[in-house]
Amino acid sequence: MSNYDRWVGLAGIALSLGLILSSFGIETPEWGDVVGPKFWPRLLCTGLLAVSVFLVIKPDPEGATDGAMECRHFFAFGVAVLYVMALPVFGFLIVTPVFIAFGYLAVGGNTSRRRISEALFAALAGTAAIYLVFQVLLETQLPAGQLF
Amino acid sequence: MSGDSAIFEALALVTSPMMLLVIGLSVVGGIIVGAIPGLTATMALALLIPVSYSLPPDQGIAMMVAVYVGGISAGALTAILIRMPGTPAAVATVADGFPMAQQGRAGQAIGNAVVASFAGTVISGVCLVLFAPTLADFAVKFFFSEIVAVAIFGLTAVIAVSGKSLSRGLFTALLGMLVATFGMSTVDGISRFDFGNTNLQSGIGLMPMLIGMFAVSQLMKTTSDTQRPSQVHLESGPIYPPLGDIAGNTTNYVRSSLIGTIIGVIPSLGSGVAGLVSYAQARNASDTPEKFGTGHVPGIIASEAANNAAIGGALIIALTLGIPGDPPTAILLGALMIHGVDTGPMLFENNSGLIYSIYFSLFASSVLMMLFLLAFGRYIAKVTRIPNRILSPIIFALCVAGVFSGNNLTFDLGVMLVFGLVGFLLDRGGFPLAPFIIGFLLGPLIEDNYRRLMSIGGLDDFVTRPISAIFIGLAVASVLYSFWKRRAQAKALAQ
Repeated sequence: MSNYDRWVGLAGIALSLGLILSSFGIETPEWGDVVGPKFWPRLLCTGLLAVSVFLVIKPDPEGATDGAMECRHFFAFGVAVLYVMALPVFGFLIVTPVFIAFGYLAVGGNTSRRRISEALFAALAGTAAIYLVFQVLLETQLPAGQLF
Repeated sequence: MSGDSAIFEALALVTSPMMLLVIGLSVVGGIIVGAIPGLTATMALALLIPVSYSLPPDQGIAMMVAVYVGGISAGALTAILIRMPGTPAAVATVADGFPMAQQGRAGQAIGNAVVASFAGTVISGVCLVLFAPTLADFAVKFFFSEIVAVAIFGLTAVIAVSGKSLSRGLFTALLGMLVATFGMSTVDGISRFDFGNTNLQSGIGLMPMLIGMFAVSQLMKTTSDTQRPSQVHLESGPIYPPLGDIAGNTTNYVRSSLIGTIIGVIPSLGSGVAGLVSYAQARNASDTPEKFGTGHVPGIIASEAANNAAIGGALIIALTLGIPGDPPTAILLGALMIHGVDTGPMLFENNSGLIYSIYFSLFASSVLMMLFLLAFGRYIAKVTRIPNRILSPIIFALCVAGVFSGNNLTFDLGVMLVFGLVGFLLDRGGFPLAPFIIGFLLGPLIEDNYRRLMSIGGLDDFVTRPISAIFIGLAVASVLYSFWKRRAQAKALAQ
């Protein structure tokens, strides 16, 4: 029996109840249609609530298939968040090579001189390739920083 | 110009070296864009409008058709290799493509996806040539109740992609539908669940959510795998699919291509829905449904044949009625107008030569797409041999660039991260992610059209209008059949 299902079920119950409460704040226009903007979200919340309760009461007997989680996963996520937060400040061209080099060394788990050279090469080549494709070839925008 | 001479002139034009060069380069360009996360065929077509205008109409439109075919076909590459659907059309391909790659069968998966994409495009192209007026008549019969009925039928795909646990699949599907309600309602413009954030008023973007859910969650997973090549190993040997894979799936090719063509004809459904519905029907029709989702060739064929066939379907309604079935065809219609071509019923009368050149461009694009991907797919697949420590950070930076370039909003990057975390947590608990996407795509279609239906008619339409009644009946039959099959399988396993 899976406790993971129970935790997800509890999160689903909290989310659906929270959204049902929040739906009371949705405006109902006088000139609106017969059904209105609240009906569908509330119907879905009720469905989600029912399935979540089912997951809590009767978790799948086979349990989670691949539930192992390590700090490493959340560390990687934290680094990704920092990278995204730094983009509007320093800009894509400055932050991306730093992120790729750091990611290379952090994921690789080895800081020998050779690895550092490889990391620098990957960082510069990767950033240059992305810049060329998006900014030069496709003429789309990349995040520009306030400082650079 | 008589019909026959117009056909021969168009054929001579499309097979001229210059035209083949334009189509070939455009297919390659479409493949590159389709394989980059965040960039879609729609974006590539929009970027190409000025280029198209500088070319003669035949070449300009052929270029856009070729980019469209290349862009949709290439979505399968990243879906198979790194569990990242390059375009929304390839969502169903992930279900069997990525497991195949993990089993060291990436080459076989790509080969089958490419041949299925080719077959889907060609079969829908034949439908375009032979049945365009009939299918267009069918498409104009679609009002609110018909679209709701088809979308409900599409929801039955949740059962097919839920794996062993239906409750988990239902959970993620409902979550997807609920997330799609965030932001402004298209019926009355009322904002829902925006929590005071102006960016949320526009709703959750499909691409940031899709990339977060599949790519970012996968990158989080692979960070614990430091030294190994990224996720998969490509076996040696040819990428060409074994003849047995093709011969054993003839019915699947035809059925999936027809489903894709019909769904492509219906405005607003698109190639993503086509792939998912076709996948569900292939699973229902299979003698071994339990193999779907574990790396099963018919699953890839069903998804890829249907999503490419939706191109022909969308072109049918675009060319015959001037109605864009999906965003890429809307841009294509815009390009035709820029070239001074009036679309709609008179197009066949006034510009039959151009119509035939579009038909032949579609066929030429699908042939060149298949040749290119079969020749180079093996080398493209070698990306999976790059170690994680190099690939993961670069792919993430690519995701950031792709998502940002859509709307130039940092908010979209936040959405990508949030859904990356949600996708990771759900995935680690064995909750399937594909139902989330099905819910996200189909939920708004059901709500919008149901609300409009109730404003002018009533629930009776579901029964009294034949197309609605048929699709509702098919949905009920599909659910009952799936449950019966699941129960029979469980009994067989118990014995």
